[in-house]
Amino acid sequence: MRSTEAFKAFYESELKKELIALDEVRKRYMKFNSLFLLGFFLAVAIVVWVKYQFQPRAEIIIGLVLAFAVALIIVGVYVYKETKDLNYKQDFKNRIIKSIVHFISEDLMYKANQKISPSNFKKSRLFLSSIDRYRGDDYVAGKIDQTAIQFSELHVQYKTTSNNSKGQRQTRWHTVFKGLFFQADFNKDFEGSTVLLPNYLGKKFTFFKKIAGATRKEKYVKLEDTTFNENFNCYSTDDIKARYILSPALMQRINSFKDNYPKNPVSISFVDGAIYVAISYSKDLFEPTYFSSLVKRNMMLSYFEDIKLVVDIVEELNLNTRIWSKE
Amino acid sequence: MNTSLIIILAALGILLIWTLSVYNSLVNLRNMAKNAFANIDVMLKKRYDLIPNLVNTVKGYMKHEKETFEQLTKLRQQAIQLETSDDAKVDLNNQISELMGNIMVSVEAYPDLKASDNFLHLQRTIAEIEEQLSASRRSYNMAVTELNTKTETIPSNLIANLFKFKRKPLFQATATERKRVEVEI
Repeated sequence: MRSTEAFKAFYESELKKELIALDEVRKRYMKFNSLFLLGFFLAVAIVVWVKYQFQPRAEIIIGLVLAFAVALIIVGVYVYKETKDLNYKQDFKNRIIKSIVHFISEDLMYKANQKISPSNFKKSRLFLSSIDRYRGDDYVAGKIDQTAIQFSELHVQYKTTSNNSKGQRQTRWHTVFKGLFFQADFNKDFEGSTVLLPNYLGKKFTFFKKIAGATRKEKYVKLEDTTFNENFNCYSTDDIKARYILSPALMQRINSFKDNYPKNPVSISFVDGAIYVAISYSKDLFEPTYFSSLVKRNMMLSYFEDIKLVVDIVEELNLNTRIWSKE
Repeated sequence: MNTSLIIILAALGILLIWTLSVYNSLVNLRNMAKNAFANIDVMLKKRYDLIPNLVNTVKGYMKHEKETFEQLTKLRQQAIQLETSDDAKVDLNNQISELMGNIMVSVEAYPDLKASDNFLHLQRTIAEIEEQLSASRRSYNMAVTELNTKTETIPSNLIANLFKFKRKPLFQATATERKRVEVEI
């Protein structure tokens, strides 16, 4: 797999000139958009100023607001026409992110506007709450040696409605999961589900860990690796299958994989012959900048590393070792 | 009814409930260990079925290892017929593991055999069963460890002694198993 050093060279030779070209697009895009924004704020300022300075009749204020509204619509249409061909965000994804993905592996394909399917997300059994809004982008799929993988960014939410003190209905959105969601073919064949959720309780409180899994069909399983137990709570439909999947070597590998993400919660599950990995991020990933220059090596490096860490799951967890009955 | 009597009755009640819950959890743990051992047995039987297959596949190639095959076949016969203690079974199977491991290592010296489809398939099947066997052993060890801890720690050891719950021995990793882990890391 490509190293960070190789990526730096790739950045200088290929990516940089693309970014410089794209940054021109960004500037153009921002110029028109700031023109519109400037017009809007100017109009508001004038209306407010006129209202307090001259205290005219209401009709005059309404007339003024209407006039500005018409003017802003005209400017808006102009800005839209000028920038609609720019497709700044799309261009960034299809040119920059795509080439980073291809740089990591030629066997991977990238689709900016696709995502992991909701059925796959549900199948993972990682998040059991209801889903009311399912969004995502930056879909990557392909084969690393013998192992088929796919991942994308996802933002999954559910909503609650309640009546506030004035009797109005209020809808609130709650995040079920936001971050990178990865799925791959696992190298051992098995049925049932084994779920590893982040452990916030440390070594003790086994009782609470059992209670926390009470709503699941999977039962709490205590494993032999103490570091692993500190990192994850394991729930499984069958404790022997859980141990069949989580060999001592794999537990160590998962521990060191988790060390790549000191701040992000990582959940992993194994369901019917597939592995699912959910890495939570609070920020949106692989997005272009709008207010500052796009030509930044460190930003590209961090995008590269975010993608590479996920693609490397295959190697890091040894998924290409096919010495068991599954071909 | 006076207060002290109520207090005594309440204390006795709590003691009874505690005794029952400890007793039940001990029984529960013992059954889990038994169940885990039965699972090991299932895997061992699967492995017995594989032995003739292994012997037939490699026999033609490995002329020098004839004694090993004979010994392996003999051990398998014993293991199938054996209806004695668990300890004897464990011992016999450790020997089988050792011999199978030796055969798999000697295969390295026979490139023709190593490349044959039959053997490759067999190798996968054996690796699969060994992995499942190892999982069952680990499950058993975990269940036994919990049982042992409960029978030895205060205050649950009082109940354990009262109802004669005994500690069970753990499975030691076999030599081949230890080697395999080293290779995997």
